[in-house]
Amino acid sequence: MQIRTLFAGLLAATLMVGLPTLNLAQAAEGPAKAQKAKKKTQQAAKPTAPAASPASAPAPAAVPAAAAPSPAGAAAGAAAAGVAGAAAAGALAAPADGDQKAALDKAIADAQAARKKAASVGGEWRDTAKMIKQAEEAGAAGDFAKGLKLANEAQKQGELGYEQAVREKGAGFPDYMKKQ
Amino acid sequence: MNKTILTLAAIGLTLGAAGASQATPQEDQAMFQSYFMKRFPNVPKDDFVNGAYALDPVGRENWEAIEEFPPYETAVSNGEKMWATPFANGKTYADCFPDGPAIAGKYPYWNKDKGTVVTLTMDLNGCREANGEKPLKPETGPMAELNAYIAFESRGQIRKVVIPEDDPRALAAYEKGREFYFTRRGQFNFACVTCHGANSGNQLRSEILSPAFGHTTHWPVYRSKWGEIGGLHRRYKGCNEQVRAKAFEADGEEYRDLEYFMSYMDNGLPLNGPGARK
Amino acid sequence: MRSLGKFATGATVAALGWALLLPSPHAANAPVGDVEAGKAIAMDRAKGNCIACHMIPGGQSPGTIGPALVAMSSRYPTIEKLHAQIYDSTVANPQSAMPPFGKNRILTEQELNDVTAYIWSL
Repeated sequence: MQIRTLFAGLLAATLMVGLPTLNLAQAAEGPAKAQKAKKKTQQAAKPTAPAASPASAPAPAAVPAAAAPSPAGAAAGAAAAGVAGAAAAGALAAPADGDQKAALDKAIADAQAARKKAASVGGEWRDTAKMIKQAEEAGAAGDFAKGLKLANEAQKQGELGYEQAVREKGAGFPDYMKKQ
Repeated sequence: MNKTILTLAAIGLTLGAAGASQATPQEDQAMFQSYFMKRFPNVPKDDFVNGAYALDPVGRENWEAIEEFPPYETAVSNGEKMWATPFANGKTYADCFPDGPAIAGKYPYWNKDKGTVVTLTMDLNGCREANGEKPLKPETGPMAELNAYIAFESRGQIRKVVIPEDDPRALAAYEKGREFYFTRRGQFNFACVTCHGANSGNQLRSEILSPAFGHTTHWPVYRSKWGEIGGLHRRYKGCNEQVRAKAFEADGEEYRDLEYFMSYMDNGLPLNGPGARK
Repeated sequence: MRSLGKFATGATVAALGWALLLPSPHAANAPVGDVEAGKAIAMDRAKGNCIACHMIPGGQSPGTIGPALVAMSSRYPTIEKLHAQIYDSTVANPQSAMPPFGKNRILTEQELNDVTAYIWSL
């Protein structure tokens, strides 16, 4: 009877403390990791068609952002982007611009959504919109890495601003004013 | 078993009641004013209208010297011209405001028909629109100058904002403004009270943080930093951006409600606009 | 009632176990920071701007909102604790007037390590 109760306590505490804390820990230190993981899954799940690709079918699925593209996809992307020879070079060629652009577009869309969510509770931060604009400009200039970095940072700002506003709900007089 | 249930129920009810009841505006105001009077016991109550200059003798001396040739003089005289100049249709501001121009003491107020807090600049713009004129940006430029003239003419009026008891929406607006004041925001995570409550009188770099009590009485302000006159909502925007929060709209709902709360906290103080500040 | 006691003991043991196992953003980044880089961050209005609120030896026009930054290693038992405070001071004091330099991503991880190293040296 006693051992069973002891274990019940251990299990209960583990579940009550462990699960939410693990979620928090992931949230605290891993938005980047979670983001990357999410992106990899989504890249794998959907075909990455370069927006400007004229003739060819959408590139095959399962092309993670940084990995080697299949020859067909690379050729299509390279043709569309006008980057000669890069794909032909072989397995570890840079991913087609189309993939990167799609990734950036997605990141910018996510950042805008996060910004709007923060704004909906009055918690938008000052620099978020500017960061998103800079991400768009970087993308337009072909600097997708910079654009991704900015968009991801803007998304984090949106998330932090939202959490802050929700946490602060009901704010009132501080204790040091109440007890004088 | 019965006793346990009763005790738990009693505790629950008490906690519930304590959580549900917030202080009334009158209680808030008493607590707010008493906090600052205790924090700065050497400052006479009416002197809180002078902000940091009520706390800093050197700053005050410099400021009093500046006030000999006030930097807002031009704004006041421009505002006076605006007040007197007829609209295209021949009417003037005086037709909208028969008690004018000394009308600053009536604002902000709760407008039952509109169901919102109304600021002086809103009513001035309303007068313009009713007479076929375009509204002006409320917190800067010509509207701020008109405001400066009205404030100057209204000096000495006593702040007496009313929260009408027969309209619960007024109390709701007050409470929204109160919540705004105490909400941490921006990347820097500051609430208005963070700097102007417990840190009032302390120095941020070389600037003394002014106490919240008296914050609304001396607007609009000629701020050296701006090189021109600006309204209270312009300062709200600047403060929000300084803590890296996105600013809200001048004369928008958030800042109107905030002004309503802050002005109510200043009830009893004499109006002393326009002001001159760094 | 006795089984409640056992339950509680088990629960406490498990909770403590979890607390010890949890990764901390501070222990993991036992700061490898550059003191000189950290000083620049502390004085830079666009970065740490520590001088805005804290007296720092050698700093100009310091603020008086926070305590003077002296004898830091005697006030903070480990550099990790100092790192945690700069990361998010509202953990120790919900009323804190200090921005969460780490949590709110005002400084990068490296900048946080650098400024921690500098402040720790004071």
